[in-house]
This record gives sequence, C-alpha cells and structure tokens, in this order.
Amino acid sequence: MNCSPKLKPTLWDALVVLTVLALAGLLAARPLFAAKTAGELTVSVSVDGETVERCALSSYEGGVYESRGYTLTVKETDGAVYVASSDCPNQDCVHSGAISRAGQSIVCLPARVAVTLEGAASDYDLIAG
Amino acid sequence: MKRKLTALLLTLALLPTLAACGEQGTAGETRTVYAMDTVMNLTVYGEKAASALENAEKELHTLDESILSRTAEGSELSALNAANGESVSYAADDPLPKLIETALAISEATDGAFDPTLAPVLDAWGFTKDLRRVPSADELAALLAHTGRDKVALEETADGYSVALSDGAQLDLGGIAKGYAADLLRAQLEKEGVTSATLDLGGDVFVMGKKSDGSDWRIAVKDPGDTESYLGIVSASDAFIVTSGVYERYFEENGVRYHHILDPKTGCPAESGLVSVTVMCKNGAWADALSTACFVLGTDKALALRDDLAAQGTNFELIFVTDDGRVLYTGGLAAAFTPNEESGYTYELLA
Repeated sequence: MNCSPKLKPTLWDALVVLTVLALAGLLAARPLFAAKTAGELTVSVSVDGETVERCALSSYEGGVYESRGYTLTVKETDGAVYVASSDCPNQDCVHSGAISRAGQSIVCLPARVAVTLEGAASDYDLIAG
Repeated sequence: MKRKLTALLLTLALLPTLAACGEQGTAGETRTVYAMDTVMNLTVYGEKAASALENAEKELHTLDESILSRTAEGSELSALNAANGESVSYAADDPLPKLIETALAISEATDGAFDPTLAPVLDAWGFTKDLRRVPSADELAALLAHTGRDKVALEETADGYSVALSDGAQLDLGGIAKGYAADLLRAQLEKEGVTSATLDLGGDVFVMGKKSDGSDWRIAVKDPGDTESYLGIVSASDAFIVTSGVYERYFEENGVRYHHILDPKTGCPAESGLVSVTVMCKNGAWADALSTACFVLGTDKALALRDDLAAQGTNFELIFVTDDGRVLYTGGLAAAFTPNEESGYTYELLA
C-alpha cells in the first residue's frame, strides 16, 4: 500500500503565505490612501471637446479662452470657478454661476467651451439637471 | 530550495495581475460630443468602450444633423417643416416618424401640456435663436392658432409612414429628442454587448447597468435655487433621470424673469408653482417630455397623470421643487432618494 508522504510546513511555506497576506493587505488598504488625495479638485477646460488646460484648482489662476469667435474670461475665487464675462449671445455660461464641487461644469454652447471640476471624492457619479 | 524560491517568485509575479483584476473596468472611457444644441458626456465601461463610443458619437451627429434638427438645412425635420402642408413619406425604420408618434402620444396623455408644435412660440420668445424678447399678447395669440397636436397627421402606410403638418404648424422635437436619442444609444450599446455606461446628454442622464463594484449609480439632482448645489442623490440603475427647471434658460426684462418652459395654452412661461421637476423612468423619450409636461401641469395634475399612466403600464417617479421651498418626491423614490439636508429645503415624501 502506498502512503502519501506527510507534509510538513517549512519556513519557506510560511514566508510565501506571509508575503501574499502582506501584499493583499496593502492592496486592500490602497483605497484608504487614495481617498486622502481624492479630495483635490482639478480644473479642466475644453474647447470643442479637446482639453486645453488641466490643473489643480488650488493652482488655477483663471484664463481667457477664445473659440468660434467668442471670448470667455474664467476666474477662480475661494475654491470656486466661474465665467466672469463672455461675449456669447445668450450669456448662459455667465448665468451658470460658480462651481466648486467635483462633477460640476459650466458650458458655453456658442463657443463650445466647457469648464469642469474633476475629483474622485464625490458623493455622486453624475449630475442631472 | 530552488523549487521553493521559484514558487515564491511566481507568487510575487502573479500579484500584480491580481491587482489589475480588481481595477478592470473601474475607469471608463469618456467622450464629449456637441450635438442637439448641448454638450454631452458619454462614458462607457469595458473592453468595447472605444468602438461603442465611436458608434454612439456617429449616431448622435446623424440624429442631430440629418434627422431631428429644426435648423440644419437638409435635415428630415426641417424638410417636413418646409413642406407647406404636403404629406411626406418615411421608411418604416426611420426614427423621425417614430419619434413624432411618441411625441403625439405624450401630448395626448398630458392633455397638451407637452406640445411638439410650440416651435413658432419659442421662436417668438427668442429661446431658440438667442435673441430673447417678450412677445406681445396679440403676437402670441396669433402664433398659438397654429399650434396643437391636431395639426399633425401621422399615418402608417404600406411601406412606412406619412406625416403632414396643417395650418402652418411647425414641429420642434427639442423637448423630447435628447431622451429619444438616449433610448437609441441604449439599444445600440446593448447590441454591442456593453453592460455598464452613463450618458449625460446635456443634463438628461441615463445610467446603464451598475457600477464596477456592483452598486447603483448615484445621480445628484441639481438645486434650481443654487445650481452649485444639489437637492439630493438618487441611486439607480438602468434608468433615465431628466430635470426641467427655470434655471436652465431664462432672461430678465424690466425686472421680470422669463424662463423657457412655456405653457402651450398661454404661450407664456408656465406658472405652476414649481421651479423644477425631475422625472425618473425606464424610457428616455417619456422621461424627457414628461419633465416638461409635469412642470407645466403643476404638482396635483402631474400626480394624477402619474396615476393614470401607471394604470396603463407606464411608471415614473417625480421630484418637485416648489416655489415656496419644498421638495416633494413620490413613493417609488422612498429608498432611492437621499435628501441633501444642507440644502435648506423642506422634504416631503408623497404617498
């Protein structure tokens, strides 16, 4: 009759198990570390769907954007971004007011300029309305 | 010893793969599209994202420029409006007559609160041309004589449909087109095997499937009084969420604010005691048109409409924001809607 050899855990086995557990723990904890930086908002400005400026809100100093014959002046104040002036015909972008949360955007349709705040630390995925 | 060292190295080598598995599909691919007089953000998750987005963008531009635009020369809708009452024929699979059919059905269901023939009146206010003004009562009365769903004749023919506009009527499908486009995109994405996506068509939202972690999507509903903030968050999957509000398009003249949601019976901005209405349902075209209609109808009539349509098999949920600072939401949202307690509104769950 054949007998299976008795398996005896060795130091090497323990090392493999500990390494896997340690790395699994690090992977599981990664979102916690990510959350610390997720609160930083990023300003993204696109013209006709192409991103022309993208930087941290804390370092954004506003800008002047020209597109399709219109000029928009975007300003930052107290952690919010708004269109201070535009020579577009409907002024909807100016009326939109200031945005300060991740996922919010201001769009000037005549100029096709969109100013968006991005950031992972948000309570929601999309905004309706 | 060598075998065990190899086992350890293999384990280490496989760990990044394990980590990658956890990330797969969490970052979607997004595309910004300017169409239908608005900006759209489409996000698709999964391996087929790039091709699905390419096809979705093409579909949107085709729908907008070749079919549904009232202003684009050569579009099917502009040709119909220019047909001087002559009957125009369409193939059975053409989206335009199908959308007109849906628009007429919603107009009937809402007793005209949604009216796809209001185009000349919207033009008079300048909301469609960026030249905003207050038309005179006489001008509005003259224009309203050419509106109403009874002036649109749609018939099924042996090989498709025919549509004729009478008495100078003009169609503008802007109040339903984005929702209908979302319906078509949803069908297209499903056909391509996409199971998770979000479509934001100028604030009209469709969420497909669930998020990569298996949870529902969380959709913030804009606060009409402070568009920087939100009323609350709706958790949903496979649903369309559309809001109509006074903050979207308006102008002021002599200290009076005029918004763009017109009452088809008066031709003037609707005064129903509401500042916004949000609709959630399983059909984009209905969600889009119902948000306008329910705004015009006001709370009581909109709730009666909800009951009537539910009896016919069309279910939808509502969030009203009244002009006296209340947020009313219907029973089907009891578990799905989380009010933003910092907003300053009073929240009421309707029976």
